[in-house]
Amino acid sequence: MNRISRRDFLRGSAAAAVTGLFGGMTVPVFAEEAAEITDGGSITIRVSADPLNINPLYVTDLNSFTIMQALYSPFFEIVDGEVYYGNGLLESVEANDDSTQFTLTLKEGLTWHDGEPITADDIVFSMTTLLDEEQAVPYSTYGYDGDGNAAVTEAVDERVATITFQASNTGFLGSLSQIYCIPQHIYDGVSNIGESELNYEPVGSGPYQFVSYSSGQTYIVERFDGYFAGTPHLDQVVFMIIKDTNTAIAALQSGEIDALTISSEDYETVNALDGVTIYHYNSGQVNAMGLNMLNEDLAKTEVRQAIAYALNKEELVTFAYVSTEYATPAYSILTPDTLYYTDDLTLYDNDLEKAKELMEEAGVSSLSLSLLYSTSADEMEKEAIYIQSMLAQIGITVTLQPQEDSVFKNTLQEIGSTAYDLVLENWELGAEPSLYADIITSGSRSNHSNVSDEELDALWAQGLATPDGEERESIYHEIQELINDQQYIYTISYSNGFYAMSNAFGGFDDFLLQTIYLDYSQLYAVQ
Amino acid sequence: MKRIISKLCQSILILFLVSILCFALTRLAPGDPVLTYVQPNMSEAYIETLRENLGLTKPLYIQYFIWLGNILRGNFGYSLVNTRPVLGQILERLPATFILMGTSLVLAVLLSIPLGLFSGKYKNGILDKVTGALSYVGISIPSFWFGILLIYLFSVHLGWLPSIGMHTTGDTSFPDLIRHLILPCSVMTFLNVAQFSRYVRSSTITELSNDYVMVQTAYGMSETGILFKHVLKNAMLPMITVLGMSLQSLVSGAMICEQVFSWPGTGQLAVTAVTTFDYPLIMGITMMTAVMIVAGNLLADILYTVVDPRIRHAL
Amino acid sequence: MLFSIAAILAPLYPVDPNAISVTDRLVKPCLQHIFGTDDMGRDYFARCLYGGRTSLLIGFLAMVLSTLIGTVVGSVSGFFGGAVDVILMRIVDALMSLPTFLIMIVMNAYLDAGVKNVILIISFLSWMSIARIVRGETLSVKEREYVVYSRVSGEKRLRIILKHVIPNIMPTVIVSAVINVAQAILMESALSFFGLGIVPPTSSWGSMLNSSQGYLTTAPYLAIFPGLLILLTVISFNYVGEVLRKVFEPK
Repeated sequence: MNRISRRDFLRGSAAAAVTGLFGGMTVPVFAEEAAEITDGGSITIRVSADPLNINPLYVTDLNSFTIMQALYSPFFEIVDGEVYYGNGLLESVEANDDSTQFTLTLKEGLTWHDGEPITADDIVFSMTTLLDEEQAVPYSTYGYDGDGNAAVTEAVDERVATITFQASNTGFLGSLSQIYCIPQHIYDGVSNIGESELNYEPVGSGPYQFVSYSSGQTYIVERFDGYFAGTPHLDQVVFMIIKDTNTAIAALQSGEIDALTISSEDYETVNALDGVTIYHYNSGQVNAMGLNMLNEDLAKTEVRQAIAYALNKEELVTFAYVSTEYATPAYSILTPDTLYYTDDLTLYDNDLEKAKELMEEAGVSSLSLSLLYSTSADEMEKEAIYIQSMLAQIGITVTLQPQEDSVFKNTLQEIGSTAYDLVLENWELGAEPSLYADIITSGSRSNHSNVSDEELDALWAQGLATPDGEERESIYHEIQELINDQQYIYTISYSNGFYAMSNAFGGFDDFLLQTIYLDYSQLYAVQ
Repeated sequence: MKRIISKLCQSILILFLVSILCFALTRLAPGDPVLTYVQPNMSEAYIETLRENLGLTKPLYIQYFIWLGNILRGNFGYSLVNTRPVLGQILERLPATFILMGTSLVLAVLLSIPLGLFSGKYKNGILDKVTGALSYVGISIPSFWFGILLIYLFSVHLGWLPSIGMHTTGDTSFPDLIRHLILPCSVMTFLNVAQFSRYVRSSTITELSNDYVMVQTAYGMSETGILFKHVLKNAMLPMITVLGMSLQSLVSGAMICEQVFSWPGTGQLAVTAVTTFDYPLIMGITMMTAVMIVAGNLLADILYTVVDPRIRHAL
Repeated sequence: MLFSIAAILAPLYPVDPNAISVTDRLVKPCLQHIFGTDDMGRDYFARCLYGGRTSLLIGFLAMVLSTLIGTVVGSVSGFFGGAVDVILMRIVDALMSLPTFLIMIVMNAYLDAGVKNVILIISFLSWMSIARIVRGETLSVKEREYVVYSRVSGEKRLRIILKHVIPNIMPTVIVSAVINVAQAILMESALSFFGLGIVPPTSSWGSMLNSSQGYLTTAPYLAIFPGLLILLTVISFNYVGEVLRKVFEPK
């Protein structure tokens, strides 16, 4: 499969709908093509919980991230593997030949919501905060190179700053797209920025500015007239906090909200509604089952391969996600839009005889395993039930171990945990392959399979230190092959994202840049 | 006077006990609030610093005394998860819960007393059968189901009432609040009436079979007179207990109903607090609930003596 | 009664309640599947039957256990009064103050999921309210003339409780017990959410009702069948209650 660009993806799914793959359901109509753009109006978007911290350097949950993007602009985005400056603060970013120094140039005439200019000093301040241990920024790792040396940031003039590393850091553009600029004049001298009350009324750089927040109800932002990429269309965006998904769908139906993301489970219900369009996008999420290497039977390669052979991936995806239209069977730990993704891999799938043979080879006749998953996602329970019933055929008794989400995360995040044998997990790591290293590197907290493979560790390090090109590509291909042949992680699916929006609004195509990256200035009311 | 002082001392003791129990429970839970939001590529240094900042690395009893010291000075601490002050967050949510739970409690009492009394009086009559059937439904169906049903009926199909939240965005008027209140309040009232009316009915039947009722009837007192003057008083006993226990819901809210109607009350806040291991917030909500429970049960004790003066010297 | 028999005879029904099917998802009730199938293609009738075994067992035993503890604590507390009353009731107050969810989460860490633990947890979480109700009733009953008379005439306390107090508070206890059955069946599904309930794929009415939430518009029968079964269970328990009540009716 080739890399699909977002536009191809949208077109593809529209075509699928037209040819009736959705089983006689209403064909989604792409409203914005015929629609006329009008300025003004207000859209109400559902978020599933209160935002925790809106300061972009401290955002760790999806709801905060969704809201934060209306308030702050990134330096740039990476869309379809290319640097995209449209909604970014930067006019250009350039790396030197060995990827040790990056030059960032800001667009002209940028201002914060309070009218102060955005300058290279803000970049220096943001990078300094990121690297300051006292400030405890969650993703401070973005500011280091592969050897663990911190970046040095200097302002060249008003609009230009340089970021320098000691070692080559090819993955840095991916990281930099995730770092946000915060205003120095607001936060200067604040000892604990993450917990500061200043975050309650954020001063940002994005298309919309803060109006009000009421706990458990709404987070409201309004148009920022000084926005650098043209005045946003809508006057106001209301983020409405609705925890219950069924309620949210009913509210969409009654017109109390205008947009929300939905899961494959609810696709059919929402698709049947009038006046609502479901937009498909690549969610960037990989769903997988980790196989705990600390279990002595699972430490045997044959057993892990046998498990893969005993399962039918297409069937598993259909069972858990209703249709392979809603989630694509996954064979690599990277998403298809990640740089250097490959699906040219040995297929370990749906061969019961082979599975039994391998189990015999490993000298394991009967095996009892626990399968940990979170009760927060219905798909996970379905995956678990399917895996349980299939593995029974090769003499593996699987005991399900559902846990409440927060308890689940605690069990999962313990380094070297033996509390589970199999575990259902997922990750969203974007388009930069080096960012995936953390989920399968010795000693990492996100290495839930507890893999300790020196060859793999060396390859990840090599990938980060090699400048772009064919050599780098072959390293990441090798990594994907190695993980697939070892079946440390049984990848299940890439889930598609579904964004349901009322036909009274348009601009989705330009609004959703990539996975969870949004440009709110592009949304508009129709008529 | 002495009795009141003794009751007050008991109450304070209970609050201490609750605080210790709750504190111990939060720490017995496997939850480390920091780990609930760890993602790939987060720095280990951040995780460590966060633990230290949150005071999670100190011994348990020291953490407790720090908390106790703060709370005696009126400082409920800060949420571990969103760093906002605990007391402020609770107070922000209290009015919503108070309005919803208060209204539905009052309505439930006003409805279930006559329903229960007359169902008991005319046992197996039409009223009894209808109330009985409805109560069974109310007792057996979960509130999330009833709630979502009402939403589909009144918000989606008929379009009469809003389904979510307390206010329409930008409208804080009283009529708007009432419109939002109707559905969640109906659910809570219905569920409460289903239970309350059963208790009233059952006690009414028992009381009516007592000798004194026969005697009064023999003396020519009207039936309704007896019902309201004598039977009601005694039939109220289990109601008072149930009401006393329900008083805490004015503070703690109704988690499921609030979630279904997206009502911004403390019930939702409490669930979030527990599922994110937000210790200070859990403690704050628990202590407030405990105060209400103690108060509610005290109130019930006092009310017993009002409806049945013989109980007085038993307490 | 009929339900219990049906639930016990469930293994005679030749369909595996846990057999999944990718193709038979959400089949509407028909001849082959008289209750239809659920979102995993499992026969809903078989799941209702087997679910009845778990739910009735949990509902009944949890009710008996919590009513028993509640009645004993409540009547002792109310009858003896004084220090006993103060201590018992303050313990009840304290336990009622602790957030239910917190207790569930903590128990999740120390107990395995399973029917026995579900029954214990539900009983542990629900005896307090029965104790309060029983105590209130006892306070009133023990001041009635005939009880006062028995006390004055030197009858043994235990005997008075059994002979006079318990029969008099029985109607109220029965009402709480019936309400408790339904609550126990429903609470089981809340426990499942915390990973404490019945481990899937085993079915129970509560969890079936819970997972039907997303299909209210597309497959309402998923909710109606378990819902009706719980309702009928409550009605039949109430009927049993009425009979018991007649037996206990104070002469």
